[in-house]
Amino acid sequence: MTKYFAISILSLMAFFSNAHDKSHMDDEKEITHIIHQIKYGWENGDGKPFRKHFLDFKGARYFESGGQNVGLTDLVKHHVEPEKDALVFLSLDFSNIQIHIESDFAWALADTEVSGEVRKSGKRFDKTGYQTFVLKKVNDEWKVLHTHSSSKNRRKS
Amino acid sequence: MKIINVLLVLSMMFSFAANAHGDKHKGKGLFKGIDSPAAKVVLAFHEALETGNKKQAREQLADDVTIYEGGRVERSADEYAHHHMLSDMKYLAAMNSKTLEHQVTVIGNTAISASRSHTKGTYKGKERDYQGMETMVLEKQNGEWKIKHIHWSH
Repeated sequence: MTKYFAISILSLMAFFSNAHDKSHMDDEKEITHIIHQIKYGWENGDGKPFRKHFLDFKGARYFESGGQNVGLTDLVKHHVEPEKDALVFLSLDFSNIQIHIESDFAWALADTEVSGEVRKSGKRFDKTGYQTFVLKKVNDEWKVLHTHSSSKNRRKS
Repeated sequence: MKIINVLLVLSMMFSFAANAHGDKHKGKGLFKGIDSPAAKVVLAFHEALETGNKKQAREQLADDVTIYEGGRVERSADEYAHHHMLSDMKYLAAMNSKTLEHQVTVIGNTAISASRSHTKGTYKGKERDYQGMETMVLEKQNGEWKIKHIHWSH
């Protein structure tokens, strides 16, 4: 009898452990998807992924190499969308993505590679750097609260 | 409903912190949550870097802190303490740095600190005058807030 009881307890523990792992994996998958959507948004000057995946709250701040956008509308209207016209092309890659989840809060770090061409001057840029994302789960959906990116010119090998 | 709750909590935290900061920045929303225990760890870290207090600086960092600075990365407190912390201290000692805004938001056992500062001075014969941004993520570990991640850029 004791043996059956122990087996039942162990089975339950294994079930809940797997369920927790699956939930964690689903969260990581969703956050990774959001990061890829952000990449799409920047590359195409499209504000939609930002409107969808960022939490629009008063006082939101997004940092980029010594500058900031205050509020989601400022980010989309004055940074993301104008780049469509200002740049001939923009290529942005996130790699080495590390996601840390604590309950309904998460933060993700990534290495970045960004290159493009400025339409007005014809000047090309090729940079490497880092990106920080801070997220919160709201209504079962992950939302970006804050971002910080910084980069420098790629080292010539 | 949950969104409303989150926004309410955030706005309550912001208004509390704005009132707590005093008249100088009242209503401007530039300083929020800076009286919280998590914020005090951030401020203690800043103070330690500015005054060259290595022990105090190290104590505020989680062992596995990740630090992004000037396009490079350091992946532990010991790595930072043995490499760039000393040069950061020397640099900051020569500079005048003023915090222009600072918001700290606490969510459970995690906190986000975002700040903007103006730094001016001369270091190794070179004049510097720039705006810097700082993001920190803190985690409560065994009842103590520790800095888990720093991202500096300018």
